[in-house]
Amino acid sequence: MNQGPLVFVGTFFALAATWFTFVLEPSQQIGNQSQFLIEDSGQLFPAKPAGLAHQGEAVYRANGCFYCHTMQVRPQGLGGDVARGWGARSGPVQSVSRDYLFAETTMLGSQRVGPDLTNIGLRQTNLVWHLQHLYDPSSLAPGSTMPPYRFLFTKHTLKPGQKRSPDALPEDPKAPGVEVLPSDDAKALVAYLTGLHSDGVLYEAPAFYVKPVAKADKKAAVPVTPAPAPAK
Amino acid sequence: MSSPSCQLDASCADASAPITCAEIDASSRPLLLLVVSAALWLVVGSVLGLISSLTFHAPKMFADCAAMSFGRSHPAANNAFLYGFAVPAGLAVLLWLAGRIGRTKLIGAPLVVLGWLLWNIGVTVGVLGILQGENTGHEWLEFSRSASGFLLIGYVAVALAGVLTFRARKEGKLELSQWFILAALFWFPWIYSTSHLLLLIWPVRGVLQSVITWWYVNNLANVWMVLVGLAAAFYFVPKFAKAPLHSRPMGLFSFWSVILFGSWAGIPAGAPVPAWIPAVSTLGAFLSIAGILATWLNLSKTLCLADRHAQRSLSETFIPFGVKVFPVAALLGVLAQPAGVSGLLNFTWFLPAQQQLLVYGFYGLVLMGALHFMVSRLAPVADPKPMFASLHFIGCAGGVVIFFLALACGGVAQGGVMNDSTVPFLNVVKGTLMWIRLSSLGELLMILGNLLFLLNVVLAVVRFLKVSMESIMAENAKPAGVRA
Repeated sequence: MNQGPLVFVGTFFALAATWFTFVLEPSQQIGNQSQFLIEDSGQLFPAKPAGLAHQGEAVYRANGCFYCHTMQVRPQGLGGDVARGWGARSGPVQSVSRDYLFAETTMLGSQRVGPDLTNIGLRQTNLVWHLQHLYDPSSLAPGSTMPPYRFLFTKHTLKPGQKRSPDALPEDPKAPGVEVLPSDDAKALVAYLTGLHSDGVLYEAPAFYVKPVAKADKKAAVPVTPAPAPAK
Repeated sequence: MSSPSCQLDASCADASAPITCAEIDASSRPLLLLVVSAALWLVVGSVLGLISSLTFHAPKMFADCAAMSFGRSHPAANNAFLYGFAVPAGLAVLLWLAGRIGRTKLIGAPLVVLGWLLWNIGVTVGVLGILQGENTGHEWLEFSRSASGFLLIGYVAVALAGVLTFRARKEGKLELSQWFILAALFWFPWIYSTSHLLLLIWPVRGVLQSVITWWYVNNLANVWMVLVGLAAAFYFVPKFAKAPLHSRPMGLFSFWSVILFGSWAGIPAGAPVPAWIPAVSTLGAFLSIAGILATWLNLSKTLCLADRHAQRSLSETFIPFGVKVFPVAALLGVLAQPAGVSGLLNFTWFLPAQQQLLVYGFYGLVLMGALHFMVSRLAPVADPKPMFASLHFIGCAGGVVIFFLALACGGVAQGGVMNDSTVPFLNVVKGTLMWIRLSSLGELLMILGNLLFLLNVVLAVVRFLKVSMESIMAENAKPAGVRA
């Protein structure tokens, strides 16, 4: 008996089964997600990133930041993500599929060589801090293992009487008269990072939402009633 | 009854099929192109890998050199391994086995040469692109659109020759390895083109991209590589044991298990996707356990019949090692899936360790063993003595074991402290450094092993070319001499 066709059809069937389950069905379910209006605040969620932040995403991608930093907060009870305050949302809630709606490339990351960067724009809003940290991470986080991204900056010595550029990083007391200027890529990258600040109400995960209360008043903590369904 | 003994060298010279193994091997010589380039990319990939891990020894080393920074050299290394070595080396083995088992010459040699050329243009463009910052942002699919296009067309050309050779087989009933060969030939272009289309040509939105990437990575590592590795294992292991395979039905069970259940694994618990997706994925992974155990039992029962005291060739050391690694690597992959364990191990160094054990410890070593055997047959020389044979094996096998143990232990420790929110994150990172640095020792050994692989492959081919050139010259010289 010629078994070739049997193996071919069997293989095709197996591949079709996994394709239907993990490609087609998820697209049907979450492929058509869209922004919705948060009625309390009148804002759209998730917000579209600004133009410069969009360019910054390309810098984040090109330099492979996502090999060391994840951008996903797992639900409470799975790892210590929520307890570490990653995500920085107003409640112990995880990342949900809608958060990534406007990412040109979804870079969830697979390793935490560095901390998670979900909503880093809520946790660290200072642009200069971010630039300085990219230029020399260990100057702000002593002992940091993050490699410096000096190639995103230009460095030159100021001529006598020359004014510092307003863009320049704060002067290093060890190297007076030296000016470090961020490139356009560095500025875009920081715009991207600080633009990561979605703190919308999560209809997908309302059950976990517990009103933050003072420690002494623990018994009074009551789950907030689930948020209403999004207006369509 | 088709006894597995018909897979042995001698039986190729069957009365009903007068073609000899030597003739099949001679027709398969274009495959040496794939083998040599694969060996070269293996070395390139492992050197890039070492460069990327230097970041953990001296973070400031490449602060001014974008191309060598971790975020670029790391994906370049991984892609050089996957698409420079793993896939073309697998193709070479598949095509040669299709001819050997089907007792037919390689059909479509020009297609192989064309495919090899396109494929390697694609890999070169892709790897250089990543170093220059052209990264698509999807892990294992980092190559730019143009590079991936070259790869896909190159694959189709080579695989077409494989399918033609497969169709020309002498018997309708298939040997066990042939099941794996046929499925593997088709599996890769399907998954690669699907993910290429949905991620790079008409990109889907949001987190769906990640679902497709996970699906692809799992299908490449846990299905395609396993299919190719087992095709080689089910061919070579009975050959080494000089006995038929322990059980053919068990082998068929392994086949169905890999393609039906193995293809569902790979989506981590807690991912920001509807909860049923990781749940179904975990279920698939658990269903594949029986198949993994059957494979292990089947191959080890056959292997134990092999003569332990006989002098063993390189293939006879590499392939049994890879076969023993397979159940460990595959089972660890399954056990890391459910939410409880994933909560501890996801995002730690444990997962890269497990992945390396599967793609290098199992797949890489089985393939290197098969390629050594192939090269000695396609480029036969009078005294084919491999150089530094034991150092070569110790480098590859010892290297991957050290690498795995260091990162797996480091990963478990890292997961424990990462989940304890009272430990500052920087301390978590610092705690892993010792393990990562230890794993670099494994990397160094693997580079040594890979270099010796390249050296032996190139030496064998060069020697063979020299001998055949000399014999051609001698042939040509004869009539000329008579005339003179």
